[in-house]
Amino acid sequence: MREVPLTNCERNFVNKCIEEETRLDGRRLLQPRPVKIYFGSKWGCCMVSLGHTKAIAQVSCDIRQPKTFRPNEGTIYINVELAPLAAQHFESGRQSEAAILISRQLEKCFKDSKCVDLESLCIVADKKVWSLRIDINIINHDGNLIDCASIAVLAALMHFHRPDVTSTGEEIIIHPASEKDFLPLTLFHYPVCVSFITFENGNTIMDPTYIEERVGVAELTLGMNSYRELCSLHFDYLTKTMTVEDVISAVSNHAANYATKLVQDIKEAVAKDVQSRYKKDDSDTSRFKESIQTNKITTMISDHISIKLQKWDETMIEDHAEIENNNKSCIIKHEEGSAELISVFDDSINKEESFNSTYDSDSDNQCLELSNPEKKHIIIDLVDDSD
Amino acid sequence: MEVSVGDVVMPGDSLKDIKSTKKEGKNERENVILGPGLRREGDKVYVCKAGILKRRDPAVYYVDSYQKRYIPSRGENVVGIVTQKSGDIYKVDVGASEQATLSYLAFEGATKKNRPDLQVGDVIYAKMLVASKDMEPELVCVDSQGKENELGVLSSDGMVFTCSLSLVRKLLNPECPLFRILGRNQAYELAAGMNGRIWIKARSVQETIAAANAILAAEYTVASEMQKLCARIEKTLLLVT
Repeated sequence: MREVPLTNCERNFVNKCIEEETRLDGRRLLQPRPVKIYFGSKWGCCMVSLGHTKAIAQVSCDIRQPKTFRPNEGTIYINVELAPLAAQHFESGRQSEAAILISRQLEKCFKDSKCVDLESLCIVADKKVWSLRIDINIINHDGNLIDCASIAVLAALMHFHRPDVTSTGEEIIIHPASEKDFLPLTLFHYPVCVSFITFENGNTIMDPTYIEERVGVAELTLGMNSYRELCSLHFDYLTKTMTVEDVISAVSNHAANYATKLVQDIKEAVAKDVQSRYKKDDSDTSRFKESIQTNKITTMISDHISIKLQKWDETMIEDHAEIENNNKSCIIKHEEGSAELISVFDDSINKEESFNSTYDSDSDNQCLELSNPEKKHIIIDLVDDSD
Repeated sequence: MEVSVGDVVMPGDSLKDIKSTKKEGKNERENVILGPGLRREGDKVYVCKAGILKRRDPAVYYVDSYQKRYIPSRGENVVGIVTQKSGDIYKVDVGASEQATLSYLAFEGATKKNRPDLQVGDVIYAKMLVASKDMEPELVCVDSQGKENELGVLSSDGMVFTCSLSLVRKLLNPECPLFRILGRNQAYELAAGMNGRIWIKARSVQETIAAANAILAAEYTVASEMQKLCARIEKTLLLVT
């Protein structure tokens, strides 16, 4: 199916919004969406949601002959699938241009930055090495696929464990999990992608949504690791434009701060899940089943509102105290016109306890300081008033 | 499984006792209308959508369901996006499986000489004239008197967003108080299409976002809570601006 065309209304409105430094979903210009990570039942399988964008990554391995010019190194293959499931304009079957672009960017970020210790994947030099395959499936498209995919790949690589092997000169034995524990991969550093979009008026935003991606004039993706090192860089003009902005120097510092924090959060999430697997304790995990809220029939629609005022969620919390005593949700009689299952303003409260790295306030203030210092005071005043 | 009015139904269920309220003394044939989600096969009526089975007098049966994909039906007002100008028709995306056509003569005061000025990417509010499952849907921007009424091109200062079809049906129900309550303290202009697209224009960017936020939040709000919802929107709007 064809992509829904972008209307002139939306283009004008988004440009006007960005000019006034507001965004449709109530974020600030340099504020990312919340990241959630869930792990599957096997090693190296994880689902990441970045706002409404969702991606699943699965790492798998098999034994192959190495490339002749790298006889003692394992190989990595990255495959990205964009199915019509994610958005109506994606076609199944052959790889689209968008999918190739994403997989190339991920290759630059993970393969070319040499973050995986490939030499440790060698079993017999020139004969047998482990070959890693990373499959990424995008399951919902709301902009910024590359960031979501890169977080998924990093979490999956950190989570993945390969079988142990022993080489007896002639033959090699692959041990099942019952004989020898599986081994994790060795990662030298932890890169993630952080994306920005620049608009006609020169403003740059972080973590664009689908509509922002379509309106913007230039895109920038930085691959950063937790040591603030640049691993990959992608910059492209999306349309013909006269706008010339030195975006990279303006946002690189912010990106590095964010990447450091994000990697920290991913590490914690992975470590927690790996620990719970070792202990065989399933009480406090973030598996796929936790991504679905089972206690409500309004499953998955609690944070469904895609257009929000900046302080909408905060007023939600305030008001929640009043309605705490009421039932969280109730089925009302289905009559003409009314007729839904009503969830009573529980958006921000009933969020899953699982991993949720809302990039919190201290760093937000930081980005505010970058943009305009007066505004921060105004906001603080307002918060005081509301109390 | 046999189901009756008011039940939650699933595709494949069959309807029992379909009847119309008979008019006294007259020996007319009974007409039963099957709305969306129902299909007749032989002398049985099957459900082909998941939802709630409803009935309206005299004998209109339909399934009310949550849905986002629009299926054109005659007489509904929709918000469409002009995607192509070709010859004497415009192609309009209404969110259905096929694009709809809109003749350039179907505007108020349009003649062969005096064409309406529509650009690709413009948003229009139009009425569905032809909607059959074998043909392309066709739109018009005039009523039968040749007057425009509220139809026509929507200004490009506004904002278009999508929502579920059930939300639009809920909002357009005359008993839904949201637009009235929202209008007490805010000025806004709005066009809600049955295809799940809403065009809105308010005085400022913040107010537009506020109104859109209220509309989207109304999906999970009962009529009695809408007063509260609007109060919350106004409070939030004050905090932001």
